[in-house]
Order: sequence, then structure tokens, then C-alpha cells
Amino acid sequence: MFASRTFSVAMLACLFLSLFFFGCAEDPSPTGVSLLPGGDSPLFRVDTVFANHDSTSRLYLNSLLFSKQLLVGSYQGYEAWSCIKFNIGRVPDSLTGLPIVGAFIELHPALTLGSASTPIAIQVYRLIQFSFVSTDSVTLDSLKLFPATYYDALEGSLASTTANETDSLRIPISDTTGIRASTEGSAGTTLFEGFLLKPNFTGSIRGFGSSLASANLLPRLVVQYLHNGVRQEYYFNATATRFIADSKPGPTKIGASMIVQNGISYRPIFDFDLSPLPQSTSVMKATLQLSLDAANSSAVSSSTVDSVVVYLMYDNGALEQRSMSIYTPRISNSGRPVYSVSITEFVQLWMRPSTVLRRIVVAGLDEYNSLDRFAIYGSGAARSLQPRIIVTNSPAR
Amino acid sequence: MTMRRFITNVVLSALLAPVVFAGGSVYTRYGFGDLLFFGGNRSFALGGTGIGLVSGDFINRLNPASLSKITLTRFSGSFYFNSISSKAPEGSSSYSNFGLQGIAVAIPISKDHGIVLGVESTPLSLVSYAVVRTQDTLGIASTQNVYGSGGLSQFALALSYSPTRFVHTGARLNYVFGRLHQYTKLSFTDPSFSNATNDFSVYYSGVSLTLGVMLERVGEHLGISGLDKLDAGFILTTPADLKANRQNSYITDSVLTITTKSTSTIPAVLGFGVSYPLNQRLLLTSDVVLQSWSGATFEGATQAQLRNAFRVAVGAELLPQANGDSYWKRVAYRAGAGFHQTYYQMNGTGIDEFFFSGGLGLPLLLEGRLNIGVQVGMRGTTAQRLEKETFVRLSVGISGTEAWFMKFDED
Repeated sequence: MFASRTFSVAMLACLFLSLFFFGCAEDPSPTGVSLLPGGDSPLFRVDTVFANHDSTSRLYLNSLLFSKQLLVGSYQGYEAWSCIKFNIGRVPDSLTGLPIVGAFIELHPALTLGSASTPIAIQVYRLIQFSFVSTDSVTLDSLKLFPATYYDALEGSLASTTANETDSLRIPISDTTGIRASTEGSAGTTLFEGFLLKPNFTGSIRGFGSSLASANLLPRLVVQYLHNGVRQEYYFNATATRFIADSKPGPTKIGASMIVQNGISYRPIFDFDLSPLPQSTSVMKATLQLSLDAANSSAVSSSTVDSVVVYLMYDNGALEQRSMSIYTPRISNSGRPVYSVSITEFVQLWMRPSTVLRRIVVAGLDEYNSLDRFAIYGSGAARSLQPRIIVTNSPAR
Repeated sequence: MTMRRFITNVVLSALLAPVVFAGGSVYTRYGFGDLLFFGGNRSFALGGTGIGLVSGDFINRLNPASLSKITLTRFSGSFYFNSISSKAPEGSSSYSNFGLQGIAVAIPISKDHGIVLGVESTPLSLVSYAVVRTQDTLGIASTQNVYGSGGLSQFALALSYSPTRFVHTGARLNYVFGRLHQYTKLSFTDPSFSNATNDFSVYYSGVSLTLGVMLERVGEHLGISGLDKLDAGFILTTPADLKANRQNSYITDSVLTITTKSTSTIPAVLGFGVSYPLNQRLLLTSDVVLQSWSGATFEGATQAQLRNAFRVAVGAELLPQANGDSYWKRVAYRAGAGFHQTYYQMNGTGIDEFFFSGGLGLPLLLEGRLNIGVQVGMRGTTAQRLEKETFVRLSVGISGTEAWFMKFDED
């Protein structure tokens, strides 16, 4: 018993004292670092791989309903028509029966592609049914080839009018019969399904706030009543809008440059061959560099032309859902503007043996809400201009 | 001290023990790390000597022939505490580490013929270092935290036999195993770089054989007066061919693992030791151990940073009264000193080690002892951009007996 107790106390005392006698360990220190063999240091190398093939993916914007803008006009191969549906319900009893002396579709400006000095002319038609034009399959060709399916009576028009970029627009509605019927709930009337805005001008595309825009940009139907000799206006907000746009099968490529286009989107696809990288290597950093062909580029908004979105594409055409985009200004490479995008995560995925993907897809930022067109040098350009991926990696020893 | 209470105390001590701290000598990066010549707590305090120490009072792990003197089932176990202060051109640092120093059991089978079975688990080497390095390669600034850990251990079965009253032989089959691990955390100053981790480990396994001989009273048998009571011992451990299974993992967003298999060798060990009781109370010991590392291969290649190893040590033990009435007269007082030409050599300079040792053997019931030993010394140099270390090694363990497997005559 005594010996056992002695042992236990002695052991515990030694353990306790050791904490004070020996002190605590420190974090790793540089002491003796020069004694480590050189082979313990990771190797680094920087490899540059160039695009060896390019192509284009062309997309109709199927989700135009979600656009925050309405586009109307024709410019550089683009043409856009718009559809608006208003929530036309009963007006207050005080306005019921009063003469309607005017009606307008009021639009608020959002963007201009082309020259703002180009006069605007728009024809307004009544839609047969808004749902007919809200499906993704409806294109401008559909509207042009089968107009009777989608719209009929000419309800109003805007003659050639000059409007600055910040000017709101009021398009007169000449036939208010349907409006009165809808506001007074007359028996046998057809509920108003909305209007089609058809451009009658070229040289610019004007963008206006849609039903998804902020309150101050919402399209409105303005109905003017005459009450005791005084015009009173009553407003109906838009409940649904969409624009339907198309472009002539324009060039996806100009010389060795690939077109990146928003609106009707063109997305260049670049193929890269990563086989020059060591098979067993860890990717620390990978940067995609795309050189801008400024001569073949135009822009609507300065923010989007400075930004691209980069996707990784699998061999089956599916996109890796993670994407990389930059919002910073382009860098300058020997005086030439270059988009520089960090795609480290992409290349790490790329290097996994089980991954079958070889392609980078480039799109403009905010494809659905802007109208940009710019060109990037492709795989056929001079070496210094070709798309490249600069990979910093550490090969396994 | 019963076996049950012994095991309980060992387990409790292990549970209460502080977490093993990382860090230590950078020299352990090479070979299999620091080679531990551990022959038991008693040997530890005697400067690590014991090849020629014939005694039934402790389990002598240096020479299997010494088991033959054990007449009661004996067990021992111990812990170690190491503290190292390192100084190098880059600066200085201090580290501590702690661990189990092994356990052993010896079971006598035939007292008349000195047949004793021994089972032991002993650490053979220790790797422990933690270094930080900053590097700027190709304009890429990185910081690497490099950690080393692990070591080799040995699980052995030993058997002794005494063909005569003064000649003892023994053999021990050693299963050598263990993992050496290097872990590197790589981080970059530039946040656009992806941090990485390299995790390298090698698992070794193999077998060797240790043969031992002990001769009691050499001088008496050889007719050398004045050396009547001299005891001598020899050991030879055969080379061990170890299988080496390496697994290198490179970890970023995914894990790239490369495995390879090869062999490594632990060269033979040759040792000679003597012990001489000056009188009833004072015992002197001395050992010499040689091991040829210069041609040893590690995963199929030699390491230029290794050389032949040589170790010489002396020890003395004072036991005033083995069966005295006073407790402190039954305590064994031990001291020693040693020189170790380690197997490390770098930048054309060998790393040598000097140390002094001391300790106590506190008596417990049933021929048991609580053994406490300390070794204090230094090794290396700051010349040639090397590292000089001052170390304190503490070993605490117990040795006890149990009356197992004993025949009692019935009345």
C-alpha cells in the first residue's frame, strides 16, 4: 500500500514538475532551417498554355422576362420589339363616365445603344394575348411572319421624335375604346392584354425600364380624363414586360478576334491543352489572360465592357456552375488592354484525372441586362495576343 | 506492487501526461532520427551502459543474455521527458517532448538453466522537429512550416540460457516498425495563390536478431588477479532490411497521393561492455558500441549526411545497504558519462554528443524500484552553419516483480 502510494505520488509529481522544468514548446522557428535538405523545399514552376482552338456558343435569351429593361430599335444588326401588359382595372367612381381625352404609354430611359440623336418612331399594336408572346420560343421572326397570331389593331404611334438619353417618352394611344371598356368593366369587353411596341427607326436601340425596374423607371399607362374642364391623369403600372430581340446572323469572329456580345449573346469558347503541365503537380495559381481587340469593340455601358464572366465547360457542353468574373478595370499589357481573370479553382478541377473538361467560355457581364459587343483575340492571333493561361504549380518530387 | 496496480498507474499517468509537444532537433530529419540506446532506467542513469551488467534486479534490454539472472517474474515501464535548447545561425529555440519509453516483462522458466522469456517494446529512434522557412522563388513569396514526427520502435521476444553457472547466452528476435512523418504547410503572401499542404510518411517494418553473451568473473577464469569479479558482455545485432512504404500526399483543393515501395537498412550493431564491483556497495560499468552507417541505404539510396556511429560510456552505482533498515541506505545512487559520435554529419562536420548522467533507484516493495534518471549534455556546433544543442533527458520508470509461475512445495 505504502509503495503503491509512493509510486503514484512520485509519478504525478514528476509529470507536474515537468511542465515547469521543461517549459512549453514554441511555434516552428527558423532555427536550423538551413540544415533541411534542399529536396524538402517545394519546387515551383510557371507554365503558360495557349488556346489552340476557338468556337462560339450563341444563345437566344430565353429568360427575357427577367430583363430589367425594355429594348426598342434597330442598330448594328440588332432589332428589338417590346411588349407591355398593364394592370388596367376599374377607375374610381369619380372618373367613371368622364370623357377620356388622352392616353399614353410612358417609358423612362435606361440605356442607349448607338446615337441618342437618332429620331425615334414607334408603332403601338394591341396584343392578342400577352401569354402568346411570353414563351421562350417566340422570336422576332415569329412576330414578323405570323403577325395575326400575336397582335392586331394599331392603337397608337409615336412619330419621329428626338429624345435625349435622359428624356422620358410618352407614346400616344389613339384608340382608347379598349381602355375605357377595361376601366369601366363593360360587359362583353375583352380584357386588355397589352401592347406591342414596334420600332419604326434605325440607328439606335433605346432601352427603358421594365416591370422589374425600380419604381421610378416603371412603365405606366397614363389615362387623361376631363373633369370640369380640367385634365386629370390616372396611372396604371405595367405588370409584365418583355423584349424580343434578334440579330442578323452576324459575325462571331472578325479576323482572328472572337466576338463577345450581350443581349443576343455570343460566347466564345476557347480550348486549351494542359498537357505541358507535369502530370503530378499542385496548382497554386492560374490566371486567364484575354487581349481586347479594341478596334472591333463597342459598348453601351462602361461597367460591362470592363467585365467578363468566365465559365468552365465540360466535354458534354455542360457548364461548371461556379464561374469567375472580374469587376476591375482591364490591365495593360505593353499598352494593350488585357482581361486578367484568376481561374485557379478551374484549373485545379481541370487537373483532376477524373475530370473531362478542356474549355473556357467567356461571356459579357450582365448578359441579360446590357447590350455590349466587344472582341477578344482568339487562337489564330499572334502569339502575344492569344488567350493564355498562366499556371504557377508545384510538381511532386 | 501488484501487476494490476502497476498497470493502473501506468495508464493513469499516460492519460494525465501532457500532450506531446512538436519540435526538437533538426538533425532528426536525417536517417531514422535520433537513435535511442535504451537499456532500461537503471542503464539510463549509468550513462547508458549495461552490456556487461549481469543482474537479476532489472530487465537489461541491452543484452538478452542478462535475462538469465532473473528469478521472479519482473516487469518494467517508463516515460521520458526531453528538453532541447537549440542554437543556430538563424536564432535559437527550445522544445520539449514526452512519451512512453517502453515496457518489458521477463518470465523465468528455469532458474537452474537460466531460461528466461522476455517480451519488450522499446523505442529505437525519435524524429521531432518544427522549422519555419520563408522562400522567394520565381518571385513567389511563400512560408513553409515543416514538422517532423515519428520514429522506429521495436517489439521483441527474448530467451536466455545459461550453459554454465558463469556463462550466459541470449537471443532476441526484434520486430522493428515505425512511421516517419513530415508535414509541410505552404502558405503564400499573395492571397491569389492557393495554399497547400504536403504530407509525407514512410512506414518501415523488418526483423533483426540480437545475440548476447555474458561472462561472469572473467578475471577469475582467466587467472587475471585484480579482475576476479569482472563481468563482461558482448552483443551483436544483425542488420535489418526494412520494407519502406512511402505515401506522399499533395493537398490543395484535392489530394494527389503517390505511393512507392522500397527498402532501407539498419546496419549491424556490435557492442562490448564490462561491469566491476569495487566492493559490496560500489559498481562500475562501461560500454562501447559500434554501428556502421556510412553504407546504409534509405529507400534504396545512401544519405551523405550519415557516418559511422560510435558510443562509449561509463557508469557507477552506489548501493549503501541492499537490505538496510534505513530507507535511504537502500536507495541506489547512480552516475555516468558518455561520448557519442552520432551518425549525423553535415557540411563536412560530424555531430558529436557529450553527456553526464545521474539518477536514483528508490526501493519499492517486492524488489521493485522507482528509477529516476537524468542525462544532461550537449551536441553539435554552430560552426559551418550547424546547430548546437543542449539537452536534458529525464527518464522515470518502475521495475517490479510478481510471484507468477512459481512452484510452491506443499506441506
